[in-house]
Amino acid sequence: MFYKEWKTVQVKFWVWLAIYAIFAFLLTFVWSHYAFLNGWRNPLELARYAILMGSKSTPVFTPTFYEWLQMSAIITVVAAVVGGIDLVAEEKDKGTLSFVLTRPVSRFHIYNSKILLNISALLIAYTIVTIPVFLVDCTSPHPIDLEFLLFTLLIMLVGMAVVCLSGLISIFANNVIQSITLSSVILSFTFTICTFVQINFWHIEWWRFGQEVVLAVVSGIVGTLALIFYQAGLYCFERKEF
Amino acid sequence: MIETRNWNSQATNLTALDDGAATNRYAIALDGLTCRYGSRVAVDNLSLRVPLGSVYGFLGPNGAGKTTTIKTLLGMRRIQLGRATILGFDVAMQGLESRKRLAYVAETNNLYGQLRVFEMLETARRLSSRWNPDSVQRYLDLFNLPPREKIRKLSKGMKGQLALVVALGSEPDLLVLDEPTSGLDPLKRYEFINQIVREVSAAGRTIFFSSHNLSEVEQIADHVAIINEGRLVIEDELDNIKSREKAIKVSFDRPVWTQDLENIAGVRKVLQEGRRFRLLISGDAGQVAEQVRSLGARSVEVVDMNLEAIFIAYLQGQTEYFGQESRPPEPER
Repeated sequence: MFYKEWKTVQVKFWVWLAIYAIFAFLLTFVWSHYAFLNGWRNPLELARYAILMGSKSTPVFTPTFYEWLQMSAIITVVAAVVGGIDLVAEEKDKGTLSFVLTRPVSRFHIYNSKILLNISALLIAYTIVTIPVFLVDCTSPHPIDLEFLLFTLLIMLVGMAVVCLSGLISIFANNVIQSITLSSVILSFTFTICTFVQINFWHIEWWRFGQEVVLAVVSGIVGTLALIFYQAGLYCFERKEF
Repeated sequence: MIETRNWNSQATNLTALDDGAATNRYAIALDGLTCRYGSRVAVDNLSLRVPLGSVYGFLGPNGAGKTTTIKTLLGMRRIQLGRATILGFDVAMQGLESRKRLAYVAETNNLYGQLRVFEMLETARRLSSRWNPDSVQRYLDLFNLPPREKIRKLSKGMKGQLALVVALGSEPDLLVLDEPTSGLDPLKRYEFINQIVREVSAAGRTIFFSSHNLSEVEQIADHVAIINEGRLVIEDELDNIKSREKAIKVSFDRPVWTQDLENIAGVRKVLQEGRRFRLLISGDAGQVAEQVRSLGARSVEVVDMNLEAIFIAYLQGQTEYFGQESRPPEPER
């Protein structure tokens, strides 16, 4: 175990956990349609909805967990960028990389311990917060289907892919700023393409193939990308001259 | 104890090179090492031998290729041409084995500033194949380093001492130092050098260090190599070099052509210092002094050359020798 990385990842873990927890709290207890603290929703009105629950006049609500999936996807991508950008670039910038590279440890182990610790911390923080949100959602008048839990796996895969991508970028960046810039540019480009696809191909009724099929295909693509980025990062780190 | 350690190194070195018996006598052996940055040659066909147990000064001007050579030895750069062995282990093929037996103290402080002293030591312990907590504690007490202090709050001198503790904690057979005293004031530099001599050199370990500070090299080194533009200029025991290289201070009552002095056999270079001349000699200084007297010199004095004078003489001589064909100096990496 790379002790210094363990200490660094501990800090990141608590920060990520705090950010996830804050947004989860706000979503569940403040922003949600069911939330008592929701400013634009009268508590009496909420009570009326509860009475009307099951009738055809019940307004269509977006379940809290569905909203959490959307929000946590964005938080996870940003957190994953933070997780990967300083893998190598920061050490290169501060000159501490020579300390690790001159120890009797292979570069394979160095890179793996760095990237796996960051991925683990991110996924654990996400899981710890997602479970309570799901449980709270289950107590609401309109709980989400269990199959939506599968989407959390997709978000985790996206997080892993982004950590691996920004880790790969950090090998070539000379400092964290460069690393952030490059990662942001690439992710913005990716988001733009995704949005373009969503807007221009909305008429293709993907859901007709079955939600599980679409989810499996998308997860497969993201997972493959994560594997490619990881392998590329490992390959480059093992051969790069510092 | 020293012999035992060396014997152990040799005994465990089962997969050493074919000529392992020869290379095992040396802590570092370079044969035709060549490193390029693109089309530019940073280290050019460099061959040298660092004997076991020696304190070896690796000298050269900025951009000479010192750091590139050290980085290559440590496995941070690939060997493009030639061969390098550390304690009998091929750096290219047995990098991990060689790194188990060496420690490195970098020019730029390569400690993690965000960690505390004991956390840094723990990091180093987990990344080392052998670790001696007793000696680490002894060094901490000796240098008076506070274990719970954040490293970024330590002074430059204390950081240097901590880097030395981290390096010595793994009980290396070879200690590689790259400009270890850069940034230290003269007092701290003096203390640091003394500590190295006392703790490392006295234990019979090999020290390979590069430095710009020639007086400190002269203070502790027993072997010296000077490189310039990636090529070896001279390599020998320091005493041999100093006994071979002499200078003669000469003054005349009449004007003298510098060329007349340069034409004397054994004179490598003539430096004019006001109305006096300093002749840099390689060979028999007495014979040269006699010839200078025959030219009517008022006073002739044979003096020893210090390492700085030798360094300058060799590099100036080389520059003049290579003239326009000499490559421009490359930036230090």
